[in-house]
Amino acid sequence: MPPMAPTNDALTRLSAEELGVLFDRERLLAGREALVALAGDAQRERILRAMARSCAEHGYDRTTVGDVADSAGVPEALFYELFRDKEECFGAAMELAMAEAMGKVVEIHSPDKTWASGVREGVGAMLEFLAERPEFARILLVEAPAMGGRAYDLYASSKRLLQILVDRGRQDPMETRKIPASAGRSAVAAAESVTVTHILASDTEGLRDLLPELVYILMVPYVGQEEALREARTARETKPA
Amino acid sequence: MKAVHNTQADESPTLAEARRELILMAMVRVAGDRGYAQTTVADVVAEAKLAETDFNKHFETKEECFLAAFDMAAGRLVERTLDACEAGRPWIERMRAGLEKLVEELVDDPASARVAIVEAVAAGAAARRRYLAALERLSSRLEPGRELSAGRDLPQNISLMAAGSVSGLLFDEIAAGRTEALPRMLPDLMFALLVPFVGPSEADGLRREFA
Repeated sequence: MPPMAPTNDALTRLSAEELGVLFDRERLLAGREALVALAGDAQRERILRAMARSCAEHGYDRTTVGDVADSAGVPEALFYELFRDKEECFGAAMELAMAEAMGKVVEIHSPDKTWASGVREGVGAMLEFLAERPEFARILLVEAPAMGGRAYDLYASSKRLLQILVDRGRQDPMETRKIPASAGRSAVAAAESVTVTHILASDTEGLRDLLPELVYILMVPYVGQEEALREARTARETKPA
Repeated sequence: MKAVHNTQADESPTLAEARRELILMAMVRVAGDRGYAQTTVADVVAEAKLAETDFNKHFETKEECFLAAFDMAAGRLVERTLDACEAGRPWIERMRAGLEKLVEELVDDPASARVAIVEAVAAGAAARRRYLAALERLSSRLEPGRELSAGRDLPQNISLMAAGSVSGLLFDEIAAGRTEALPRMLPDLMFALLVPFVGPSEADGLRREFA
């Protein structure tokens, strides 16, 4: 039996305005302008990236301002001209990392895309980003959840945004079964657990290979096993080499 | 284990071990109450009614002590959950029994619940690794669930992901201070755990049996 095409997938589509509202509500930034503003001048950006690298290597607690300044190749005095302390700098590095990550979601977004292709491409772009930027991967998913303040809020907000996007799968009119309200949260948590396992093992190639599995786990509550496996195969076949 | 050189009779290895345990239990209570970030070595020592020198004999840092306390709290949760879903009954029955036991243990000991599920994420990379290792241990019991999917080729990490979905829901509830109300989440936990293996229709049916 050929897979049935959804009769109407309009409900799962999201206009650019609707996506913007979601970003605003969660106080999340994305896009070129935001990145330029967050990075600031070249020296500030070097410090932010050095902060991310150092935290990825030693963890936030063991990172010192001296290490960060050395790694960025700037005098420590300049660090303190730009940032009050280590925590403020980490928060800024986290803002930059998150804006880049969320930029991937915005880049692949199109109101003409179905929910399924949005999830496939969104997860693919996110994994590619985490694999290319291991220092950002570590601060976004390991260090930030362990912090308080703005860094934690950013982590929590981005997770809620992804949960909302995934949960639009329930609006597919083909889906008439009852799905618990927590389905988006549990699906994103499932994807996070296996992603963080690979980040902590510094397994960059393994991260890219997760794409079909993540597509399956994010979609199965909404479309069932057969369809989720079919989407996982599509994701594997269309994955950039 | 580190060798402890004792000069006094009251510092026998057994006593040293007992003090170590008191410190770990105090760490669970303090970190489980105010969170890892707000916990200091002085708090833990005071809670254990011991001296800071006792702490230093066993642990170099707060993190090292927390990791040992996590191992104790999470180890017990994992053991008891695994015991509750011992082989012998159909897989779905074992999953139900395991979830019920896990939730019962979490409600009975909210401090351990917070240490094992919420503060493990708050304590940084080393704690997160142990947390994921605990999930892997629970995942081993989920593997037989593959047989329910009628020969479908399910993802390699399906069991870890299913365990992660349950722990994610538990995290949200415990972090929000709703540990006591966890039994109400059992239907949702059952759905999250089973949907990767049996699909949404069957998982929904099993969820309703709980309600």
